[in-house]
Amino acid sequence: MPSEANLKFTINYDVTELNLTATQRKDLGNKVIERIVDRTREEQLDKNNKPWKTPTYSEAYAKSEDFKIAGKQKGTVNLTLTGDMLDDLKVIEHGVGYIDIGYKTSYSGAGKVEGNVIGSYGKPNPRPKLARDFLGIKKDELGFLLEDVVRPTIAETFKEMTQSQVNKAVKSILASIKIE
Amino acid sequence: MNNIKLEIDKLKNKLSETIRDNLQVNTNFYRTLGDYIVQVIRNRTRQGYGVDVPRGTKKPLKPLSSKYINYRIKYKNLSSETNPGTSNLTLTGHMLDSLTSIATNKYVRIDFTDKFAKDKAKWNAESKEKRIFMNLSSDEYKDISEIVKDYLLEKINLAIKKEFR
Repeated sequence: MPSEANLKFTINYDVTELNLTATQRKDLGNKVIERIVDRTREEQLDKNNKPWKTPTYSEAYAKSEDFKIAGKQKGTVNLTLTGDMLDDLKVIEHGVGYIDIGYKTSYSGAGKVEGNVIGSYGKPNPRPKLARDFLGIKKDELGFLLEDVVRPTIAETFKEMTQSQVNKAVKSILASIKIE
Repeated sequence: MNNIKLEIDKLKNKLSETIRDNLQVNTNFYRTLGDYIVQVIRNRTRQGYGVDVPRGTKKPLKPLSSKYINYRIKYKNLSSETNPGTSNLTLTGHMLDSLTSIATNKYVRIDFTDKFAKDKAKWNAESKEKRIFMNLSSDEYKDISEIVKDYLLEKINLAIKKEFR
């Protein structure tokens, strides 16, 4: 049974500094997932934006029927055989101060996920050198995505700020109309 | 996340400052506003409506007496802006034509260029018919508010574009 810890990662944020709504948390989670999928599929980089430690698939896997059917190449390690695993990446849970992204232990491909994350690939022990840990995101990238999520809030705040200040100013300008 | 929070706060402060700096209006704007108000009062009065109190409702001016209508029928210099039987505070047109605005950078004053025109407006307001027109109605204030608001928003938007381009 795969360990829950190997199937997900958590984005924690300080609630005293950031007040994300449920929609914003979900939105941020989805943006992070989008980035992970792109990074893994297109750029073939791990969660720290580093190339995989083992940049080719194993001989055995490369010779497998599934591998051939999927039309994959040995040197293109993008964790995409049928595409299911990356497509199934989800926001599992979110609440005030945290967003969990990954897979539930009940997920049919949980073993495959764990195999990639810790490098076990069906063996009992983790093999860090073979691991292709794709579950995570670099802090600076997370920052950019967060900015995208909160930007509409800034626009909204700005609108409210402008409206209230302009309304006050209009009132005072109207008061300065003197009719003799 | 700390850095982003700081950046957002900085941005909000800068926006707030830009808004605050652009909420004032200058003499030119007061002059334009004054000209508009003069037109509003003049046109409404010529259409035969007065406003009794500031932010009141426009109401038809009291009708003219038959004696005065007869006088106007015979009057040679009757303005083309009126008819003998029309109650719109216009005989020669002098009083309403004398309406003007005086703008400074602090206020705009609506007044008359001519003392006699001002006196006539006063007599009309104080007469038993009470033809009061030197006020702005609630709807007229609303229109003026929109003009001021649009002007300020445009000014703020321009300043923000300049500041954050």
